Amino acid sequence: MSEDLDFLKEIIDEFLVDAAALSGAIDAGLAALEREPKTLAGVEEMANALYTLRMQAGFLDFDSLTAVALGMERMLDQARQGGLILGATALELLQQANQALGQMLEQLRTYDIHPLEVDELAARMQSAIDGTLEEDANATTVPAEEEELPEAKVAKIGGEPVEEEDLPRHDDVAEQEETEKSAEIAAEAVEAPLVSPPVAHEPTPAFEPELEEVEVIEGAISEDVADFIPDFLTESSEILDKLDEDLVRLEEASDDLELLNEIFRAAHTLKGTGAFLGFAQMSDLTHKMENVLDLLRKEEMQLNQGITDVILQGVDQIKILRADIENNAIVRRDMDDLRGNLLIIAETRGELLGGAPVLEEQIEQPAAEEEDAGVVISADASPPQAAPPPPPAPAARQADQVIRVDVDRIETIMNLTEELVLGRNRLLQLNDQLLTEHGEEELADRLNETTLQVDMLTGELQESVMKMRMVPVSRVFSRFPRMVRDLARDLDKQIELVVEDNDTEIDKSVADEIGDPLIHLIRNAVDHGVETPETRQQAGKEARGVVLLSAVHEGNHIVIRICDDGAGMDPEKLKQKGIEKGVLSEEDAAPMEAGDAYNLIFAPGFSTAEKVSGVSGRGVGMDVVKTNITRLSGTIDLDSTFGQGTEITIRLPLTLAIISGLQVGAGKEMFIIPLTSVIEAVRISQREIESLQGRKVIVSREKVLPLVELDKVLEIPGEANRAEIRYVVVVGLAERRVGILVDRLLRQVDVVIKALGDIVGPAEGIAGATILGDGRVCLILDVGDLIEMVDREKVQSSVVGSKITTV
Amino acid sequence: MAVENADPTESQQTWLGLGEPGPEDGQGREEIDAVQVIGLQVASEYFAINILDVDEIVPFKELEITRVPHGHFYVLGVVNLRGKVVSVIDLSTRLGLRSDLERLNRMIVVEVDGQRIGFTVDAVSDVLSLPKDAIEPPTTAEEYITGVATVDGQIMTILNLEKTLVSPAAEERTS
Repeated sequence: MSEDLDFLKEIIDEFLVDAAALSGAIDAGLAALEREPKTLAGVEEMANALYTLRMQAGFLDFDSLTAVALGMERMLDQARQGGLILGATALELLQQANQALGQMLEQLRTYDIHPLEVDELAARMQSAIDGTLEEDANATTVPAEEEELPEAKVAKIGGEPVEEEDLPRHDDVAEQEETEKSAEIAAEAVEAPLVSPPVAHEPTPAFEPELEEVEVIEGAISEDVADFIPDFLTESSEILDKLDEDLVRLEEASDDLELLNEIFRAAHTLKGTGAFLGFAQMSDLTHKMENVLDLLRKEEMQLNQGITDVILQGVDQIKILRADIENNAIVRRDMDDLRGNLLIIAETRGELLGGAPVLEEQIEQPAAEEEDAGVVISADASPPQAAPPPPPAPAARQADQVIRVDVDRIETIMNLTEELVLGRNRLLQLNDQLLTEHGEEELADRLNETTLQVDMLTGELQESVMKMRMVPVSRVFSRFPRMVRDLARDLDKQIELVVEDNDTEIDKSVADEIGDPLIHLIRNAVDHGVETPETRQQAGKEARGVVLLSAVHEGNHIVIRICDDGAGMDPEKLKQKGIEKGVLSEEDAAPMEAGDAYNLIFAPGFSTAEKVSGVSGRGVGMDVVKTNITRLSGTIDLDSTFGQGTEITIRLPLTLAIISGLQVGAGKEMFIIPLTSVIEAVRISQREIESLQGRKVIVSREKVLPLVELDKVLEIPGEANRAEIRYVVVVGLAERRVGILVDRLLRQVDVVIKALGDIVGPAEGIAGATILGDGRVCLILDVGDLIEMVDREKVQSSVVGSKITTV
Repeated sequence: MAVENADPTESQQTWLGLGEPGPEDGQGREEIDAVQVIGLQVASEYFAINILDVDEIVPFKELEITRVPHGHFYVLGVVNLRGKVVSVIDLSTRLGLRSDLERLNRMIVVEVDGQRIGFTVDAVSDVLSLPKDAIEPPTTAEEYITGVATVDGQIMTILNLEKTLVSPAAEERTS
């Protein structure tokens, strides 16, 4: 204890040195001001000195000092802005304040830590700022009891009602000596109900906190507002997502006023609409959040992790309320703890966070809030001012350029366009036929012209309609900062998520589907990729890990990358696991390159997590991710450097529904191979087909290319083709290449993919169907499936060692 | 709902006259509590389905069906129905009844579970009005059946279309 005292004395000494100089500056400034109040001489000096003094005092928790200095600063500020005229009363007030400052500093010099009563002074300064100060040269001091400040006092310590003097005061230096005792008291204080004297101008809730009853009508939503609900749901969803994002950003940049205003506006909007639609619980909760946010943006409260947590809890609770609305079943939700916490935070300016579970963590840590949890003397004793109207949203300008369209309507236009494309195809065919048979006739010629024109227009229409469905990828990415934040905290890791979306846009249906795979991948990066701070530091890395999520256009594709600077993966370990799980044979493992080893992770049943954490690692994740990506006609690839990090690259086609394809013939049937997978098509002779380990291969570009015999793999009826000339379409997916063996190469086509549906069955190898110009249905091949089927053969043939069975 | 009986010679293969005709029978009888069904003949068995489920009935022989590899064994393939790709199931195969696929004559297109599905049968009847009290609960535990009715001495099994067409087959035989 005595060491603390010595240390404390040292601190006080240092502070006093600075304070002396600052005090001098304040004196000088004040003197100048009194001589020429109208010119505001010396105000600049004073304000600067006060600011510095306040900062230092605040740092050392000398709250009375801070309060008085703040009051003076505010008055000067108001004067500078013209809102306060420094008349006799105001000047005298400043003098009094300055004297109080002096007194406090004097006290400190003798290490006298008795509290100085500054409440009424602070109150009067506030009145001056508000413009409600009585013009009375002899400003009478109002007795503290009647002043009625929203002061938080510990009602009980150890169960006994306590006298005011016994309460640990905020500016009490002794409190800092007895840190432990304060922490104890703080712990108890948080649990004990807190009572504050009522404020005259408004019925302040007693520090129970007293929560007013919220009237809830349970059950279905009333008819009169039913029309507004869909819009409300869409709007609120967007707002809530953005709130998550913004709040996480705010933690990093808690003084970003613009950000604070936006967050405040969001809560304000939710409150307004909630109230309008009669959602009492939502409007009550958002109102309480608004109060907290208001204090933050007026800089009357400092943001910390604890406060952010409570606000985020509020956001989560609103999501629950919103879900109830979506289900058309309003339920009374127990939010008293949360509402109470929000009230306490607002009333105590963040000194107390309330009794919510989240606080228990805080109590264990020797956080600064701990020691202050005894009493707060608020600098602002006035009634809460009406919040100045939020600045007009800059988004308003953009809003003119955007209209909301029902997805169904877009769907209709899309369908019509698709049909039009089919009609156009038929028209082109007939046109060709006509030209061939009646090319000399003028009519044929004119028809041709028009047909080509229609062709071009249809193409452009298609493109425009595609664009209508494009949504910014940031919409998908917006939820990740919050997710990473929460996850990192759960795992005690420090992780920064950097998002670079480059204003990239993707098709809405892709956006809907890509979310889940991305969640899984990012969770992996956080859970398994980035190491704990200790491990990282031992490895010579910064304690804080970085996960980068980026999206960019590359030609006809969208490329999404997830990179982390974490532990990376060991190819040998992956191979080992592969063998254990039966996905890989020993012989194949040895020569396998690192790149292929990394892609083992996408095989079903594969997971290298030592234990299955609640977060990820169940062994079903990565292959499902891959399936989802493949379903979107995309590819996924993984690269890693053991010890340094991992990079996952996802490639998605820009347009979902229409693809270019290569039409091929096998037996009597025809199929279409998506052009995005096609690398090249080669003509071969039957002789070039070799057998390797029971599989058919050819040698192409000095490499062995495994073949997919389409007629075998798809069980095409009819005799096997004995023609001399065959064709191999070389296709690639990520790093893998195979050759699809067909009988005929037909033509390149642009087709609308139609999904097959589940009715037909597994239909492995088939991605979808399309309707050709002549009305026939042609199936579109799934290159990924085909490659897998070929791999399976390989595994079976080497594991089983018998003849190849097609599965 | 269009009953396409384009070719008059085919009418011999469609089976008429079983059971009570629909409400427009001219006798002015009040048909309360009756359900309108279509009768189907598959191999030597007769089935009935609610006409409200039926989108259309098309002649089967001219249809060009595209085979789908690795599909369920009872799926004949897919077909272009006015610009839409519709899956085609053979009912006799699906229900495990022997049937000569040569005898298939009609494809019934129904809407089940939000999907349009076609299935093939040998013959169809006119619309029949089935009094609800003539429908008895099924005797077997088969999911496909919602009830049995006797019409003009002929036992007709009333099908549960959802279970018949949409739910995956219990066993998967290799073709």
